[in-house]
Amino acid sequence: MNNVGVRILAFFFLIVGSFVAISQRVPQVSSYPQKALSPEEFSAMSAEQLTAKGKQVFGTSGNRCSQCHTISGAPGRGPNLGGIGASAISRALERSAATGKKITAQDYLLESMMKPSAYVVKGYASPSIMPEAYKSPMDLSEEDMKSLVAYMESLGGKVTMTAVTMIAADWRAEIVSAKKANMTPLRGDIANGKKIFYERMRCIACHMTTVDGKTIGGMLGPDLSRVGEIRGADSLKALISNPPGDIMPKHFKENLTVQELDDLTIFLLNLRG
Amino acid sequence: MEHIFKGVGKGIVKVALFFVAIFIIYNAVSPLLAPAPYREFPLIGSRILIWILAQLHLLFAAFVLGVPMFAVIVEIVGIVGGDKRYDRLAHEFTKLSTLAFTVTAVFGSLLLLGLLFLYPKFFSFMTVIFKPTYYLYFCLLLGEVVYCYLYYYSWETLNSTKFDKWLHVFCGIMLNVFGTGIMFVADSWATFMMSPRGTTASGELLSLWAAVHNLTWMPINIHRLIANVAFGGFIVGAYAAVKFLNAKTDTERAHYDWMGYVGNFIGICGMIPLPFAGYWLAKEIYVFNQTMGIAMMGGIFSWLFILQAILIGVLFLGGNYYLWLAMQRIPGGERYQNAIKYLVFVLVVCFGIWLTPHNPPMSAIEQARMGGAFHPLVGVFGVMSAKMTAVNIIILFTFISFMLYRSANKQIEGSRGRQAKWLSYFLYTLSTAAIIYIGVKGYYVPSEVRVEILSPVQVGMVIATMFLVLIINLVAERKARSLGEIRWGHMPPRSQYALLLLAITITLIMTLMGYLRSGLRQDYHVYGILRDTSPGAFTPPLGFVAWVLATIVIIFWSLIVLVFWLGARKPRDSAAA
Repeated sequence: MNNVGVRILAFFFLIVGSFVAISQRVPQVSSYPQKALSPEEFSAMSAEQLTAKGKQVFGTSGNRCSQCHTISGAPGRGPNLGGIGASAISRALERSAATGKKITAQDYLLESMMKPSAYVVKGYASPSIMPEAYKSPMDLSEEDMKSLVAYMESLGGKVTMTAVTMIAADWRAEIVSAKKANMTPLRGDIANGKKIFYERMRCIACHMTTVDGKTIGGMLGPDLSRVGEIRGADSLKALISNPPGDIMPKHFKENLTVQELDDLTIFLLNLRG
Repeated sequence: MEHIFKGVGKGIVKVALFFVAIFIIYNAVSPLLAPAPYREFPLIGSRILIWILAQLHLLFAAFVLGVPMFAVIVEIVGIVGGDKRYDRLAHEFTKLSTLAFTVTAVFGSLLLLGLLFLYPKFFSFMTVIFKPTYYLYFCLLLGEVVYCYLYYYSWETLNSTKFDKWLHVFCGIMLNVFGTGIMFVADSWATFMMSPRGTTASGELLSLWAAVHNLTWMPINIHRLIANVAFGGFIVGAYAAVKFLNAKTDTERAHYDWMGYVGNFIGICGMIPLPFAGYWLAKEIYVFNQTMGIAMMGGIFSWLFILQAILIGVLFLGGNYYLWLAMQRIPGGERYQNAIKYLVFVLVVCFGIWLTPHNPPMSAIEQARMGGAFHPLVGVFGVMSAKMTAVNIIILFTFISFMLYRSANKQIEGSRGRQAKWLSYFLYTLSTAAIIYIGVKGYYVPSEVRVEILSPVQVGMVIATMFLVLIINLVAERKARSLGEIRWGHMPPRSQYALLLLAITITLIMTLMGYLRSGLRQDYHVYGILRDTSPGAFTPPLGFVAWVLATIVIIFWSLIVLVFWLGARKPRDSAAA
């Protein structure tokens, strides 16, 4: 190789080497999926182990929950969770007063993960931008959420959550159903769903959708043009069966068979703009 | 004509052999393996192996898609302008792309085998959804092979009349149409993995078209199409730089200097719209899934964007530096030397703003050191409004460098010249002021207003200014006096290292962004639908990523050098000529 060749080679390695060197200087963050524990292994965890697992689930340096929440320093996209163990107690009292039900700090913390919009910290947008933690893509298991509650409680409060604590039956059912939805295929006829939406139930009268690039429909209800991106099958089915508020009629459940509800859901899941 | 049929036949046989080899290997080995969702590759693991194979396949695919685009553009310029040099340049690179085609096929075959053996569960899942597209891919591949070899082997035959030449250009265009079609099909698989649609939550197919036409499909198609043009241009630039540095005579130096300029010109033309296409892609990622968007720009991947900003900054500064040096070999270019320091100042300031992180993930100690989650002084530049403003100004000022270069040896006499000059300056100033004003406004409006209205207005202003200034100058220069011919070959060696820098840097960017696109799925094969439960399902730290990317870049450039060397040694068209 002549001198020019050596110089070119040296230049090449200088550029690539500089890139590698700079890359070593930025924060080195990695993320590993959680290790799956058997029910027996999980039940045998001590409070310290549960808290440590929760810390791991929470993540560090922009990973998982820490992507939006900080524990110290300025708040990020989500509230700063430093001292949440203590503030959860006062917020639980607020929630109890608002709902008329007895809500403990543990319940409040679980609710924040499962229904992030139920209580939104002052100064943050409502409904919350936080996804429901037990659904895809966060897809946390009951065990993950219990360990997270233990970790949250440890931040300025007393850890009451244990590995064997039973969480509320309806929440448990929701988690099981979400996992089942991930495992069991939703079978349905998209064309029939479309027919139900446009003709039979005339959902189009109140909701907008995009058809062949054109947005059509009424404006009384939410725009459904991209509803498939923001709602899962279960959430859609629940909203159709038990619509919130007073505007949307409640008769859908009675007028649709189980299969038709699946058809309509599949159609809605595919509304992605 | 015989050699054309022979050449095309050779290409078809070559591709058929690859498929036969894959079929034989798969059927011979698979009965020996126990059924399993994943299998581990020794030493480096399956994930790293697939990563390297996929990225090398993509780089070579970009080469064999980018270079024919470059070749057809250059051939058309040659026909329209009557300059034979363009024709020779296009021919030279088409020869190289036919050689690179084989390397692309080798990596494609290895990747396919790798997925079949190491990730059978994932491959079966994708096959159930995309099987019909596999047939389409095969047909398009066949078309590409036919036109690739037809384009190359008919070069001398279709050269006698203007009609023949345009017929030859048609073959080149068809080659690009088939090549782009292949890319679109392959992009549908990759983007479905990232932003799936058209299936149920558990992955049952409802609509194939919806699965293909997912949210990130078209942004990636456009982004890759433009990037391939830039990549093709910069590779030609690097080839010319090596040849220039090794040239023995002034004639050789002049030829390769000219070639390097053409490569750099096409590379920069491709690079200018790239940030806009990237912005569209990022926007669609946010629309698809906000969690993914946040992980990309403000979460675990946010430091990757700092590395990307460094590399893109190097690309723009390198491209401008080459143009400034190139002005020295143009009589009249000395008139603009004084302007360079201002251009450097603006580009460096904008580069700095683009590099400024907003609220990167930091530990409490790091935050305490900096004085909070945001830097008290420069933190204000970390937001998208500032970055979009900076990148628009970088693009506008790169265009100014180019306009100074192209008008360096032109003297427009009289009032026409003065009017054109001042009108151009007025448009540059107006556009820059408007971009900054809109950028400042962006701090005070909701993000959707900034994303949907203000940022597209900024982009529109830059494009409109470039278009208007170009028209004004083209009209004004019709009666311009030439101050002398470009002294091709009179370039300092450092200018050629700038060309090499551009080619290496764009390869690094492509590998880095390839990792980002895949890495964003984290522990999913298909985001939110098919979980990756293999041992390689983790997001590695950037230091480790950089080592893998460096390995890929080294392998890629070693093979490119081999292709260039073979191209120089083997006069493949001697029989044809």
